[in-house]
Order: sequence, then C-alpha cells, then structure tokens
Amino acid sequence: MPLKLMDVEANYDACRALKGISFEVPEGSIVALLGPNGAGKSTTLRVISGVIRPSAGTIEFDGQRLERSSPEAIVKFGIVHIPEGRRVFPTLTVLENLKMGAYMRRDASGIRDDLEKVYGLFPILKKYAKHHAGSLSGGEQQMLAIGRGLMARPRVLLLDEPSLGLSPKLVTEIFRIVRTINTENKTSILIVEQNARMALGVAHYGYVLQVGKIVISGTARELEEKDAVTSSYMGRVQCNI
Amino acid sequence: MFAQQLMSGIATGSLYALTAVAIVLIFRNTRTINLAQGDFSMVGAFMALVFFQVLHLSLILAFVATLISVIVLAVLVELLVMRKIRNADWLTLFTATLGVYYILHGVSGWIWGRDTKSFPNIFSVTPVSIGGMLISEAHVINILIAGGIGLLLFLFFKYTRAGIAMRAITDDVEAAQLMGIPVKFVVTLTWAVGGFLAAFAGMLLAPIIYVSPGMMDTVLIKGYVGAVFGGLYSIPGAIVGSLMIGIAENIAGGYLGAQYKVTIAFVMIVLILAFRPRGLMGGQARREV
Ligand SMILES: Nc1ncnc2c1ncn2[C@@H]1O[C@H](COP(=O)(O)OP(=O)(O)OP(=O)(O)O)[C@@H](O)[C@H]1O
Ligand SMILES: [Mg+2]
Repeated sequence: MPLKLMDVEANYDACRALKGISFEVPEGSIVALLGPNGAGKSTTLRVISGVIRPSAGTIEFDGQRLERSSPEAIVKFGIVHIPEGRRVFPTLTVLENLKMGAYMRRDASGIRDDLEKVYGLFPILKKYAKHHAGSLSGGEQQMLAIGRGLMARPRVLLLDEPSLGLSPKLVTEIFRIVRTINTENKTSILIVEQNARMALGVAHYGYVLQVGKIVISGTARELEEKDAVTSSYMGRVQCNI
Repeated sequence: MFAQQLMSGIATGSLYALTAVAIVLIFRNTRTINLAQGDFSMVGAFMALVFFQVLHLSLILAFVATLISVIVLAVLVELLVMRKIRNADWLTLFTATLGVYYILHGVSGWIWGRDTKSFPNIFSVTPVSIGGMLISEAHVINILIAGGIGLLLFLFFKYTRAGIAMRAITDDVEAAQLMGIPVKFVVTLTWAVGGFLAAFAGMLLAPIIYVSPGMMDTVLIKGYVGAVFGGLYSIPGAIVGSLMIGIAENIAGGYLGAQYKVTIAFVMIVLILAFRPRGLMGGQARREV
C-alpha cells in the first residue's frame, strides 16, 4: 500500500509552508524529496508523522486516514520519522536510545532480533552501546538516529537530510545503508536531501519542492537529466503568505 | 558533638531532598517550577492525620491511603491545570503553580483549620548509639527511607521503559514524540512521581515540623535551593545540595542559634546564584540521570 498525500497544506502561524502538495510513496520504493532551503521539505515529513497537523488535505496509508492521528498512532501504523539534525537523546546511552526506538513494541524477542540487525548494520553502535549518545561523533549519531528509527520496525521510513554535515566517505556509507534497508526489509523510504545527485542515485522517484509546491516530479532517471533539479538550489527562500 | 550534628543534618537534608528531586523532575520535563510541591506534602500530612487518627486505619493502611491521595492530587493538578497551558512560557506555568499553592493553602485551612496540629511520633526519638554516636532512631529511619527511595528512583530511571522515556523527554521532547513515546502520559507520570515523593516528605516531616497549612513553606524554599544546586536538572546535584543545606543549617543552628536555620538556606542560594548560576554540577548537569 502506498503512502499518499493529497492537497496537503500546512501553516506555521502566518507562514504558509505547504500550499497544497500531492504525491505518493509506492510500497517498497525510495522517493527523494528535493528542493532549496525553506521549501517545506521538513514540514512535509512533520505533517506525515503527525508532529504538526495539516490545515487541509488528506494523508492515506494502508487504507487509513492519518491526518488527524497522533504521532504515537502514526508510529504504530509503521511510519517512522528520523528528524533533521539526528536528534538522538544525548544523555541516554546508545543502547537506551535504541530501546526508545522500540518504545511502542511489546514483542520482546522481535526487539532483540532487530537490535542484533541494527548492530549488524552499524557495528560501531554495539561497540559504544554503553556510552552516552552525546559523546558520539556526528556520523555515529546519524547512524544511531537511523538505528533508533529501525528499532520501531518501520514500513515507511521518513529520512530528513541524513547526509548533512558528514564527510564524503560517510555520505557514501549512509546512502549504501539506505539502499540496504530498502532492499532487505522492503521498507519504503521517503528521503529529503540537499545532496540531489546522491539521493537520486538511490531513489526510484523524485519530487522537487519550491516554496510549498511541487514543481517537478518524475522517475529518478528523468530528474537526473534535468538541470532544473540541481539549479533549483539557489539561496534561501523566505516564507511568503 | 560535631559528628552528631552532621548526622542530624544529613537526616533533615535527606528529607529536603525528597522535595528537591521532585522539583527537578517536574521542571526538566515540563519547564515548570512547581511551587505547589510543598503543599502536596502538606495535604499528605493532613490526609495521614485523617486516615490515622479520625478513621483509625492501621499505620500501614493510613500510609498507603495517604500515598495514593497525594499521587491523585498531583495528577489532578497536572490534568486540570498544567496540561491546559503546557505550551505557555515558563512564567505562566510558574504563576499557575503559585495559584495552586494558594488554593491548596486556602482549602486546607478551611477544612482542617489554621492552627498547628501535632503528628504522632511513629518512630521513637530515643537516641540509639551508632559507632559511639548518639542519634535518634527517627533520624536513622528517615535516612534509610530517603535512601531507599533514592535507590528505587535510580532503578526506575535506569531499568524501566517508562523511566528511560522520562529521561528521553528531558533530552528532546519532539524526538521522543517521533519515537512513539506518549509524551502526555509520561508527563502525567512525572507529576505522579512528584506526588509520590511529596507524600513521603509530608509524612516524614510532619512529626518534626507539625501539621498546618504553612508547614511546608520553608521546606519548599530549602528544597528549591537544593534543586538549584543541581542546576534544576541534575538529580545527584539536587541530593547533594539538599544534604548540604541540612548539614549547614544544623551546624549553624548548633553554634549560632536556631533562628539562623532558615537564613542559611537563603545565604546558600545567593552564593550559588552568584558563583555557579548553572548549579554546582555546572555544565555536566545535563549528562546525569
Ligand atoms: N517552527 C517554525 N515556525 C515558523 N516557521 C517555520 C517553522 N519551521 C519552518 N518554518 C518556515 O516554513 C518554511 C518551510 O520550512 P521547512 O523547514 O519545511 O523547509 P526545508 O525545506 O526543510 O528547509 P531546509 O533545507 O532548510 O531544511 C520556511 O519558510 C521556514 O522558515
Ligand atoms: Mg529541513
């Protein structure tokens, strides 16, 4: 079942951040959401995960309407949002962070299996399991943020700028892992990125957002050929009503 | 003499710590400096009198009933007052707890009267000898109970899902929400823990300071000063701060006279705010349980 947004609008006080956007994330696919600073990419993810309520439009997943659901309910549906800037719990240990990712789950043995899977994907997390998350490097924190999200056993993963501030080598590593998560668990992934080339490299479909509207859409191959995608990253757009 | 004053200082300080830790827990999860924390204890002390002396429940039943009453009171304050304004700025939250403080003072005075009531000494005050030091049995028991509660909290925050979630919310509310942690429920639970601590503080302090609507007023200040020692974030900091206040006021009381007991807490708060505004544990306050 795809995740489907229809005519979704969202506001921050006087700022209209999303002006009616529609797109879908087909089951098992990777979709890249691109666009300049302030376009509304993070807002799109926050609307899906229920942190902010859309002022209009519908969000559908698995035959269920999500736009009025609480963030907890949305995690239960299997949609997990890994926020921009990693946002690990700095005073909790790595293991405690991972446990919090599985907060909604009651299947102790499934949680144990998934913990081993996450450790397999990110051996460094096992090594630092007892360390405070705040003491990890940026790259390690990003791995923890992804691992913590995976502990919820997501069917759809919303990833906000996972490569931000990482060295080129780590960026490649993160994208390799994104692909692995998609192929091994059939997890659908909606990935927001500044790094358009890398994102389109792993994605099946892509959308370009500009001041709250989708201006370009197509398969990743099609978007790679359009210059518009890379040239749309010019300056920061201020919110206009 | 000095060692004895040290011990009684630790005994009273450990009771202040019950208030200080509750203030820290509620503050770091809700940005609320809870001025009603002392009054939760005060209502608890009155309830204990009702259960024990009026309804003639057994000691243990009266104790459990008091514990439940105070937890219910704290949860009601959260659900009926604080939740409605949870997104407001800290000053609004603070002022709301001031309102609760006056309401609880007023209602208690109206129901139970404004005069001071004595509270039965549950534990004997006859001194026992420990390592050559004479210390009242009540002091020993207070230290043991407060220590036991400290251990219980430590285990709760370290090993239970709800306890770890409470710390996660302290770190990052929005990230906690994204992980599916039911933030509203965990905040209610935080107030419930505040009520739990308040009930113990009320029942253990009542035999010492007697029962009246204003009984907790100075204890609240001392607990707050203890909490400030931990930068309002660190539980170990709040405990250390409270013990220091207990010790300092006992020693000051012993050498300078009892009327200096309260003054010493204020002197300490001025000193901390002047020299270590982020608490005794300073920058690392956010790193601890
Ligand atoms: N909490 C907020 N309050 C008010 N306005 C906000 C808030 N968050 C975002 N905005 C505004 O909404 C618009 C969209 O922001 P959003 O964060 O979704 O952009 P973005 O595409 O994720 O940008 P970036 O690449 O910088 O992460 C921007 O104009 C931004 O200034
Ligand atoms: Mg963003």
